[in-house]
Amino acid sequence: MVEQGKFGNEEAIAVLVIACMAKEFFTDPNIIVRKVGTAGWYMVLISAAVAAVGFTVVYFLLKRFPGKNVMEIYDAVFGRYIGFVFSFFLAAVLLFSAAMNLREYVEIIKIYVFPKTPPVYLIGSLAVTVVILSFIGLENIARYSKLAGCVMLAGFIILLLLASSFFRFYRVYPLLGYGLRNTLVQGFLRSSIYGEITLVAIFAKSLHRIEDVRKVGYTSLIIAAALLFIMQLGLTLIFTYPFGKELTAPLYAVASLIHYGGFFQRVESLFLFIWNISTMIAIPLLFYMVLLIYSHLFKIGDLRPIVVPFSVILVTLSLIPSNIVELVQFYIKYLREFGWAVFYVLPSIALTVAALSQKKGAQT
Amino acid sequence: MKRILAVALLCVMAFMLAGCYDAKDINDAAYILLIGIDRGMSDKFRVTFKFPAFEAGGAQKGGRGGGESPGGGLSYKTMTIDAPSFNAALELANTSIPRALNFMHAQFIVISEDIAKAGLVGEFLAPIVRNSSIRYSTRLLIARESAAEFVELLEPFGGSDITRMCENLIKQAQETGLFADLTLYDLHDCMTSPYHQPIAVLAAVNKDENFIEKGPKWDTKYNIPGDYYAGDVPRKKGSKVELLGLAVFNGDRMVGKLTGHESRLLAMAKGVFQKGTYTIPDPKCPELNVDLEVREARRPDIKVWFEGQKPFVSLKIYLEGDINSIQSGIHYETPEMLPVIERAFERFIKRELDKAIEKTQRLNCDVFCFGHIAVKKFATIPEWEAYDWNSHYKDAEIYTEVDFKIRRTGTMIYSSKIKYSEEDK
Repeated sequence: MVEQGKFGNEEAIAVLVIACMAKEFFTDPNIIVRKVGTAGWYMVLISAAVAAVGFTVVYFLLKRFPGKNVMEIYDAVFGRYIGFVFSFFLAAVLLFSAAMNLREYVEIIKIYVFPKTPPVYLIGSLAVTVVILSFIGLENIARYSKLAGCVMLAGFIILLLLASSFFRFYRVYPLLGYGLRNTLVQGFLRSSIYGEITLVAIFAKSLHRIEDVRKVGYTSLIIAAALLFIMQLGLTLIFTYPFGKELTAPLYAVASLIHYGGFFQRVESLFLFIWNISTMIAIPLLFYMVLLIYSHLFKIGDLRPIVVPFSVILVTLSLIPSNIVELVQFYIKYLREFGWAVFYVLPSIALTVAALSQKKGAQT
Repeated sequence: MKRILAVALLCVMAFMLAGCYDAKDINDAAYILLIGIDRGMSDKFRVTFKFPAFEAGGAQKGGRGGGESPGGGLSYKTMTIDAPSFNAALELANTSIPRALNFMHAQFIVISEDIAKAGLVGEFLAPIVRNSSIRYSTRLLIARESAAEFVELLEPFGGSDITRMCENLIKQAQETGLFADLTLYDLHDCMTSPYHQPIAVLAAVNKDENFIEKGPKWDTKYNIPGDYYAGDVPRKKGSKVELLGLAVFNGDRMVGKLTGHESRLLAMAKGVFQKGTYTIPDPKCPELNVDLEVREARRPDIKVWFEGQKPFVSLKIYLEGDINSIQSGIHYETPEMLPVIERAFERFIKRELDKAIEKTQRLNCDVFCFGHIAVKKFATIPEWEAYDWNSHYKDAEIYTEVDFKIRRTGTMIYSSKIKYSEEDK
């Protein structure tokens, strides 16, 4: 069995929060405005409430089978074959999600920063990073996340503070956006924004105790929800909803607006590090989770032989969307709107079946 | 192991060297500072670019020559192209300039009034707002006549370069309130906004035509300061260009203009007025004037309510200021007399504000942004969009009130009468 190494709660929180936030730096705020208009800032809180329920289910499942990760629990509850299907489905969604996040990152970087660089080169560079980080392992990714997380948090807050001169509070009106019902439905559907929090169930063994899973999960969720709330509210206050619907990457547009006299302007290149580093943590994390699940499914003791082949699959999948419109309005849309089924429903089924069949792990 | 490491390092280095493959040297780019857009003759648009001259050893070189424009030790060149769109003009420009045009340092986008009135602003701005190299913080101006002429004649003044000239010129919006600091972001945001209608800064070349050198001298008539459009200020020499007043848009079509004086009233109503000097007729001696330096005391109080479909607006402006001069020498610096000036100024601002609001209502353009308050009465976007505030603005009944307090009287706290000898009285 693969040894992932142990790390502390802070490292785990950092890696999960970054994984949640990374995808929100690109086209997601635009999609949120298109779906709920001016109500995006509290829609993310509705999504967080749904995600909290989903995570509670995951936590109870892990608590019922102490010392096991979610793949082992699926096997224990459903048996080897159905458990295999559940875990394989989770791995497939995570790999596809990583590939789409990779492609989204590349598209945005190509639009705003490197318009003349071939996409394959950008994808290739990131794929090499993913391979290298997979070789050095989850423990190192998590420890690096803690270090990078502090810098990124500071950068994120500075960005919003500098852009606060553009805040106009009338832009949050009409408060109910396209209607409360619509906001509630979208908030539920888009709860997969926080789906990465449930990855803790895959690397649960890297934490010291089962209580740590609870602490890490809820703390990550609260931090991610608070940051998303601040970000979405900031964007709503800066761009009226018709303008917000147009912007490919609203947060990058915010950075390019910052202009304080002749000396302090064109600072977006500084903030580029926020989304570069977050992407370089989020995609390798998802990728590593896929490797862990795959190695469990096929009982592979060493991850290294499958890293490069899987990176080829990652790159190949990322090349499927023929353009950014297809990527955003089809692949990412369905991943975000139906991701909750994989992140929360599969564990719910497992918990229900375990409860009905009275299956439990060895209690310590 | 060492071999593997060496191969890995070489691979990493190969990635790093890729930057050299299509590297762009600073000398390979032409940094566009000003962009002018007129209606074309040979094609739909006439686009003018202004950029630093490409001198050997850098752009820094004194003196003139070769059609370059002078200024502050830097020289500039302009280029005008007729093309069907901005991007087409860009490509055509690159066929004659051996450098890639770069817009990272663009200061002003100047659009001619002609284009603005024809409703072509949106059409022309569409490729500009999609272009990631043109920043949303670039200032946008509406040139009274030819944008090409404005771009050509915008020269550094007082030893600065064009970039600093533009930055400092825009700063005067805060100092005077006679125009506003508006960017591409503002115009694009407002063009699609259901809350209000857009405005843009008016710009023009001042050809000294309003400066009368011969004729009867001015008598005791009163002129409101700044009540001009750009290009009309009676002045001679100085910079050839000026920014004054605002263009009013309905969507992307320019439908009217506000003078510098009206722009200040607009700033007061929007709560963005920082300071400005007012000259009003002395209430006790109307042939002479009183100068006041006026600031915003606190943000205006705006209330909007509806009776059926009809909107009602109440606007109260709070101002404060200092006395800068009292030409008559009347001793206003007493608790009983200060309110005389205060009430006179309140009446003056209210009268002018009502006229300005009426003017925008005739244009049916809510540039006063009352829609920002009106929207609070609507719960959802479909309800707000169905009501269509911008279309109902003309029907609004608007009540205004002005509150003005004098805080200081300058370096003098008492006005003594000027003494004349008997025969001069």
